Amino acid sequence: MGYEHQSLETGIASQIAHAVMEAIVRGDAKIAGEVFHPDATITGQQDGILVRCDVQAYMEYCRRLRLPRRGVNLRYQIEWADVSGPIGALKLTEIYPHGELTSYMTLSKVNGRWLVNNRTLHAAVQTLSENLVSGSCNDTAKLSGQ
Amino acid sequence: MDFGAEHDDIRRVVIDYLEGMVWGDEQKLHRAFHPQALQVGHFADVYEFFPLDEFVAWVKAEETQTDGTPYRAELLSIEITGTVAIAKLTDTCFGTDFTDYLVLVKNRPDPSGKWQIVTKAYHVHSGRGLPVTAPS
Repeated sequence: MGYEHQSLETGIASQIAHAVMEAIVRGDAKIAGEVFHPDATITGQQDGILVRCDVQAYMEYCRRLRLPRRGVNLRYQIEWADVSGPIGALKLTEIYPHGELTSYMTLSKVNGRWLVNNRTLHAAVQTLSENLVSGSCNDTAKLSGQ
Repeated sequence: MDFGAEHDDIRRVVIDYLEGMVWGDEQKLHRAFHPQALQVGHFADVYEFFPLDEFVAWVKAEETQTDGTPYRAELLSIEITGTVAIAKLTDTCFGTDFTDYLVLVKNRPDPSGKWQIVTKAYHVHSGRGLPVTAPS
């Protein structure tokens, strides 16, 4: 093939993952704005129904969750990362007291910066999924059902 | 969960996507994509976000091939976690070589569940739509 496939540079993947985690545990829209594209979406499922919300709605809910802020970088693991030209993908597992949350994020390099344009969630514990995905959308009435 | 079966199911979705696009088969596209699917990527010098309807309209406006025409594509990887997965592939369509990441969800964890694409991220690596300016 005449094009290049490479592993997402470890430094970039770590920076993105850490910024995403910081934004989530703090519910900080400013940090989120530095790592998520303005049109980015958060995607999940509740009882088989697809739910999506924007980053602002997600941050509002994360803020209300009051997740413990200590040891942010001990609570996630980059499982897989890949890049092709100006797009990439990242698999992240987050460890919470009541279960693990795995997300696949698609990335784009825009104006020289890598940004998350979608984060699709899968939780090992359903209630965690409902809290972190559907709850955020339901609370802000920004979801759209299947 | 039967990972072999899950891979086969996802592969079928990818084939529906490719054949739907290359052959202009709207039914296959609607089978492959969730109605709320979003696409995001780089074409020429434009970074774009758009919903499924716009993608289908774009396909219909292109010179599609007749059903059964051979096409070039390679499914490079499938990664699955429960009811969420990501597939990476390269394909040639309408004179453009693309690389795609397809994020899929399954609406039920049991074998009756259906995988569909919810997000597609893409870029052009050769042919029509290649950026004029070098990426920074």
